[in-house]
Amino acid sequence: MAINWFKYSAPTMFYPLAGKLIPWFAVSSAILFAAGLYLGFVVAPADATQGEFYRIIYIHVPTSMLSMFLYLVMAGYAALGLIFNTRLSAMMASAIAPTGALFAFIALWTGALWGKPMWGTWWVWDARLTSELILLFLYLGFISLHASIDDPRRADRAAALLAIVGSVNVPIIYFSVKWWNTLHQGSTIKFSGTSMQVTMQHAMFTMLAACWLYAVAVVLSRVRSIILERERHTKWIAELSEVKS
Amino acid sequence: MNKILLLLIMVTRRDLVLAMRRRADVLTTLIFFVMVVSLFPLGVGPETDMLRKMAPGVLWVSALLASMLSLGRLFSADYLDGTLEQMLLAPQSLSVLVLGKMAAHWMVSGLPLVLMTPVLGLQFDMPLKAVGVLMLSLLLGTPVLSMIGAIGAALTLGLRGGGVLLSLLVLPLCIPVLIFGTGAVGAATDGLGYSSHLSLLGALLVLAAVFTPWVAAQALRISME
Repeated sequence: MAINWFKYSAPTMFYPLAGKLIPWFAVSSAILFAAGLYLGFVVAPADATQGEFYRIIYIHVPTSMLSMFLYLVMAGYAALGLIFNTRLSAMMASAIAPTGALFAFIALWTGALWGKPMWGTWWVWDARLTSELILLFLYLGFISLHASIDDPRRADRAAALLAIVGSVNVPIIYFSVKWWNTLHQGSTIKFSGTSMQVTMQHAMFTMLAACWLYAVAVVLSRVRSIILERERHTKWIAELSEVKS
Repeated sequence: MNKILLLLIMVTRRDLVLAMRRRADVLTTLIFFVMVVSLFPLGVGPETDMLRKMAPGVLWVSALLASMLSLGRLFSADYLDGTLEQMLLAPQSLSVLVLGKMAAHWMVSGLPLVLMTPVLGLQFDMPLKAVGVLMLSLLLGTPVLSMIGAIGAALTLGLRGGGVLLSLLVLPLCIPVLIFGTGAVGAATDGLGYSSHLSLLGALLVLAAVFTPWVAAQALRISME
């Protein structure tokens, strides 16, 4: 059976689909959050060197990973919107930005909380902390550029270009900051085996999946609001049952 | 090929002539640079050892801020009197036009800062060798600031509160330049090799020279449609 993938690239079709998908993502995210927090904070053993303090890792690592992935996803959607001139891609990009910024902020915040007992200080000018901070700045730049242009089409395209320039710059920024200073512990999860205990791994991946599902659910519901706002003058919006009532 | 070069020179010369007609603008940037640099000793105290250590960072950050200050003028005058629209319609490559404008902007707002650096370096009691490296790093780095800044200037063309927004967009992207620029001077004062930092700055300059004119041209098209 041939599936027409482009069918859902039209806001008319995507709006009801997103509405149907959101509860699934939201509920499974809530279940996984509960499971991951239980595994991480109750089942998993204390760390050999860091004691109980290390448990913040279950929030810190998934959020910081997602904040980086989401920037790439956002830049990808922005590029799609710029190249193929599809309305929905640009809406997706602007829907992802606040969630990405939120994750970057949580990663910085939990990193500070973790740094206090471990390094004895809330903040160090270490490579990864600094590049995470710069990532937050990039998100904020995207959001504020989008917000300060009144014409939505120009806003989409200008912000898309900025996101692409930013994503090209991210590796350069990352390596320049890395050579500048490094104190952060090395990655624990590597593609060739890991130095983590199995329960800790399970808890970490559960939390990561929960964060992904949360991000999808929130982005979908935000994109629905954006569609409603942008297309409010069209006929199909006026015929929606939730708009009529 | 020759035609492109001719176009580049013509655009650059036109912008330089325009800038020379309004010399006050050029001087304001330079005075701002000198003033910000002079404020730091007042803020942190006059200990020579500390000032000597801080000097590269202070000069680089001030140069960064000074170049932000003048970016707003890069396209706005042409935008307001309609010249920019004609440039977009012109049969010549818009990227080359933009590159010419970037070059002129650097000569007006970047080069004076580089030339002013030795005097300010003496104020901070920097050793002669470090001043030389600092000038070299600024010479390589400030054109990159003008080029990256041009993208931001094109994106924020004609927006309310464009100046602050422009800094918000451009400053994070300029961080690598700042790091390698100050890194070169730091290595030189510590007696280490600084050529790797300068090579990386040169690489950034080449990369920026290839890509940013095209990106800024696209940004102008988005802003002007």
